[in-house]
Amino acid sequence: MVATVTRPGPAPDRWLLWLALMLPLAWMTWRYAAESMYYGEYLHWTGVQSARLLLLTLAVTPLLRLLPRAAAIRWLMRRRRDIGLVTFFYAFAHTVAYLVQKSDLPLIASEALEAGMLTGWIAFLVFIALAVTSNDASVRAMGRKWRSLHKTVYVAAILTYLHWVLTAFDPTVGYVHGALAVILLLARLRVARRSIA
Amino acid sequence: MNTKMLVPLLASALLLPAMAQSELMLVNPNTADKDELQALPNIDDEIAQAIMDGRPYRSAIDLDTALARVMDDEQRTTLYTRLFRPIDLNNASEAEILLIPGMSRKMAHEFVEYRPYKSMEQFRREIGKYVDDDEVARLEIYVSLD
Repeated sequence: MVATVTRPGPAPDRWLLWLALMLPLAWMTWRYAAESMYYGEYLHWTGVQSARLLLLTLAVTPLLRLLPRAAAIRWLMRRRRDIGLVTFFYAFAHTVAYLVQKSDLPLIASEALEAGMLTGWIAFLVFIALAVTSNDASVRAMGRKWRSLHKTVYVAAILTYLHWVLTAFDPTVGYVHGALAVILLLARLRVARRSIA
Repeated sequence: MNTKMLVPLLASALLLPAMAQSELMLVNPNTADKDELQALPNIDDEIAQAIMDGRPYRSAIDLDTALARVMDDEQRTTLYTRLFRPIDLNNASEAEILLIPGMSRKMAHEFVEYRPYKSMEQFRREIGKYVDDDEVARLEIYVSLD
């Protein structure tokens, strides 16, 4: 008799998290495809949600230091990579909507040189690198380099909020989110310094 | 911002409440008769005649070019709160959009960004993200979908 080892599938809470975070994106994308939502509305919504999910991702480590026994925070820590991936899918939808709307390579290239768009594109390229390496195989294969690569999320975050404030009609909300990201970055640096000491 | 730009902006801001009371209607420079034209600010007999002689106006730029011969910037900006050739939302240049009283470069950019417009509802919702309903209603009278 041959013993078979069955690998456990993703935990139910993980499925639930993906469902809860991806359903709104699927619904809004359906509405946009069905033309009951307009380009600017979809672009704005995907951009804002992506930026908020990014804030949540960045907040996990400082929150855990603040509340090390809180079950919800410990759960968030375990699911941080998933939240990061979902963040990428919102940013991806945001970018695809822009590319489809423009559908003009020279125009896209010329707009990409403007500061507001350049920051967005660089951030997106960093997010691609983070998303494709957000799996166990990459963690094992890259070793310590994986940690270094994933620390660039802070650079991408700053660029994301710069993209927001530079392209928004009214950048006030973008400034508030950017300020929160800077606070989280400083909190993360403090955590890192304490770990070294 | 220099004073040359500030005066017409101030003038249009002062006229906006009056415009709201007149149910946001603009006089059409292609069809208005002389009496209608002379009832407008800064229009005398000579300018009314110049407007009628310059017809047809195919764009707001056409109208502005004709009026620039007989009126200064401030007078034209004031006049455009009551008389205007609506711009084509899908094809107007940024310079033409900027002729709309109270228009900023940022808002002109948003007008262009959401093209093509398939309906006025689309225009209302896209621009309504940035300004209140009254301002959307005001801007709407300056645009058309040709």
